[in-house]
Amino acid sequence: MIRKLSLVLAFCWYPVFVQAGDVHAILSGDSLATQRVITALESQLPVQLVPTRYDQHWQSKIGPDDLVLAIGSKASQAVAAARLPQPVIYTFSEQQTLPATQTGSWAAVVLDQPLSRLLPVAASLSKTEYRQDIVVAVSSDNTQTIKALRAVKDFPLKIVEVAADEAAGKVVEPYLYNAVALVAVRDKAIWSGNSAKWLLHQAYNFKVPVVGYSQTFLKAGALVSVYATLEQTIAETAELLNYWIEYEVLPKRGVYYPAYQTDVNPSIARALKINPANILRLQGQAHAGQLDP
Amino acid sequence: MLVNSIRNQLFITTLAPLLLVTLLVSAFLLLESLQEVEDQLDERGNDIAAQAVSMSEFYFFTGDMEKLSEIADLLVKIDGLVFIRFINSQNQLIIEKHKALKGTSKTFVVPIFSQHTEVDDFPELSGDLPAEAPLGIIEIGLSSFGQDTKKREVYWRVLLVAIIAAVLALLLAYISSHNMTRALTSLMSTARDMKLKRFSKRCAENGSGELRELQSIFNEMAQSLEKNEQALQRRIETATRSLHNTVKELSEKNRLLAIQRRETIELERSKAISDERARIMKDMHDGIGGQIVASLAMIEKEPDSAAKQNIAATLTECLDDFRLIINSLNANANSLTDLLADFKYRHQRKLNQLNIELQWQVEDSADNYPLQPQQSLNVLRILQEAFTNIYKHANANRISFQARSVPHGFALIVEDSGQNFCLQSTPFGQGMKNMHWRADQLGAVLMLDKSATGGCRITLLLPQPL
Repeated sequence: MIRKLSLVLAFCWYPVFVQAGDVHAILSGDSLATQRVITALESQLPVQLVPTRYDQHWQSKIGPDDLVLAIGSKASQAVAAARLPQPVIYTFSEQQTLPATQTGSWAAVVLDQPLSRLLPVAASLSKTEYRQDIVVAVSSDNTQTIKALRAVKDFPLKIVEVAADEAAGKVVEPYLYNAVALVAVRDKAIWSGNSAKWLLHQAYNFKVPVVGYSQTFLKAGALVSVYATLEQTIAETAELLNYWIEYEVLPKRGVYYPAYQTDVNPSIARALKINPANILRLQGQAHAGQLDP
Repeated sequence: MLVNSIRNQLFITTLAPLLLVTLLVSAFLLLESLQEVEDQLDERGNDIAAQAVSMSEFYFFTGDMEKLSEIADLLVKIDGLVFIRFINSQNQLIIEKHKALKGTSKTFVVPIFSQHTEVDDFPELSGDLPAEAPLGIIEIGLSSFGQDTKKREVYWRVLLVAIIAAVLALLLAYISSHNMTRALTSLMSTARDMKLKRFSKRCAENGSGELRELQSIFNEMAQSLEKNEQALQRRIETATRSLHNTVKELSEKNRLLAIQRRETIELERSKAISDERARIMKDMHDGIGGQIVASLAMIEKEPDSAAKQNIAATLTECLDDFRLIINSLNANANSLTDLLADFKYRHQRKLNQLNIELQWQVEDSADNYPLQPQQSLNVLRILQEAFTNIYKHANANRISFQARSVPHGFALIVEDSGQNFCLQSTPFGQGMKNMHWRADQLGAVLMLDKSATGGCRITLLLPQPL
C-alpha cells in the first residue's frame, strides 16, 4: 500500500523534478556559519540543497539539469576551475577570486562593495585645505580593480599601488598627509592580516578616516563601513536560486551586489573629531542592491 | 561554676554562635580581603603586561630593538615595577631593565602573538582563518611591597572589625540573656528563699508572657505554701503542748507510782518486821512472860516476908517492864493517848505508894498523834526515866503532866513540885544522856528547866507526825 502511494506521489511531482533539477551546494568548510547559511537559504527555497565540501567528490553527483551553488571563496575557486556546463551561482565570493573569463551560465553574489557605494561616502567627509585626496591602496597585480579605479573621474582619487614585497602601511604613509579618507577595496594582499592592521594603525596615527567594506572593519578601527549583512547576502542568493528554480535559467550572467548598509564607529568618530551631522548623514546612507555588470 | 547560673548558660549559649559567626565572617573577610589584595596585584600586573604588549607588539613584529628598549625604559619607570624583560620567539632575552625596590616581587609572564586584524565579515565561509604566530614573551616583575603594606592594613582592619563584632556580640548576648533570664533569676532567688523556709518571700513579676504567668503561679503556690506552713506550725505547737502535758502527767504518775512502790516496799518490810516482832513477842510472852507470872505466883504462895515482898515487887516490875516491851513490839501503831493511858495506869500504884499526887492533862488531839512501836518505846522510856528520877530524887508530892499540841508538833511536859534535881548533873548523867539520845531518835527536842513551883520541868517537843 505504501509502495503504491509512493508511486502515485512520484508521478504527481515528476514535472517539478524534471523542471528544476537539484541544487548542489559546494561548501568551503563545515563551520557553523556555513550551516547557518544553508539553513537560511533552504528556508527561502522550495527545494532542499545537496551540500558537499569543495574538497570532496562533488562533481560526480551533479546531473545535467542541476544547479551548482558555490559558497565561499575556496568553493568558488574550485567550482570555477571545474568549468562546469551546468549553471553556477557563486555566493559569499570575492570578485577578485573569480576567473576573469568565464563561460556558461553563472552569477556571483559577491562580498565586494562597488566603488559607486564607497567613494561617495568618502567624498562626503569634510575636506580641509590640505586633506582632499581619497586614497585607495591596491596591490599592483590587482589589475581589474586598478582598471576600475582609473575609470573613476568624479572623485579625487589617489591610487596607491603596492607591490608584493612592500609593506602597505609604509607605502601608503606619504599619501596620508593629504588624505581626507582611506578607502578600502577588497584586496587580500592589502586588507588582510598584519597589513590591514598596520594600515589602520597608520591611518589612525595620521587622523585619516578609513572607509571599509565590512562590518568587521568598524571593529578594527574604520570610521565608516559600507557592507552587506549575512541576511542581505543570503536574500540576494535566494532570489537568484528561486529565479533559476522557476525559469530554469539564471537571470543574467555577472556579478550581483546585495543590498547594503552604512554604519559608523562613534568612538573613532569622536577620536577623529568628525562632525556629528556628518555621522548621521553617513549612517543614513543605505541603498538597495544593484547590478554592476 | 560558671555554667551553674541560667543566665551564664544562656549567655554562653547565645554568645558561642555569635562568636563563631564573627570568627567565620572575620576569617572569610580576611581571606576575601587578602585575595582582593592579591587580585589587585594580579590585575595591576596584567594591566601593565597588557600595556607592555600593546606598546611593543608592533616592534616585536618588526624587530625594532631601539623602540623596544625605549618602551622598556618607559615601562620600568612605572611605580612598583621591578624589572621588565623582552624575550623573542627564539626564547632569547633581547631587552632587560631593572629597578631597585624593597620587598619581593611577583613575576607576570605574557606571551605576545601576532594578532591579525580581521576585516572580513565571513572568514568561516571562505575557509581560510588566519593563525596566530608567536612573537615573543614579556616578563614583568611587580613589587609586592605595597601589597605587603596593604595586607598588614587588612590584618589590622579585619582584627578591628572582629574585635568590634565580638564586643557587640558580647553586649548583645549579655543584654539578651539578661532580659531573658531576669524573670528566671527572680524565680530562682525566690525558690532558694522557699528552700530556706522563708515562705513570706515573693517573686517579682518582672517577666513577660509565659514567664510572667509562671511567676504569678509561683507566687500563688508560695502563698499557699505559706498558709500550709502556718497551719502546720499551729498544729505542731498544739501537739507539742499536748505532748508536754502528757509527759508531765506521766512524770507525776511515775512519781506517785514510785512513792507507792516505796510505800509498798516499806509496808512489806514493816510487815516482815511486824511478823518477826509478833513471833518474838509471842515467844517472849509465852516463854519469859509465863515464867515471870509463874515465878510471881510461886512467890505469892510463899509466906509473907520482906524478901518475898521484894522479890514479888521486882517480879511485878519485871512483868510490867516486860509488858511494856511487848507492847512496844506490837506491830500496830499506838496512839499517844493509849500510850499515855497505859503509862498512867502502870505508875498509878507506884504514885499511890509514894503518896504523890498526879495531875494528868491530855488533849483530845493526842488521839490523832500516831506512834510507831519503836517511837512508843522511846517516848515511854523518856517518861519512865523522868518519873523514876522524880521518885528517886525530887522528893515531890505532886507531879503535873500535860500533853498538848503546839505549833509544829506536840508537847509532853512533866513538872514536879519537889527539888529542882534537873540542874544537878551528876546523879542523872547516864539517864539524861539516854533521854537525849532517844529524843534525837524521835526527832524531838528535850528541854530541862525549872518549873513554876521550883521543881524540875521536862519538856519533850515531838515533831509533826510523818
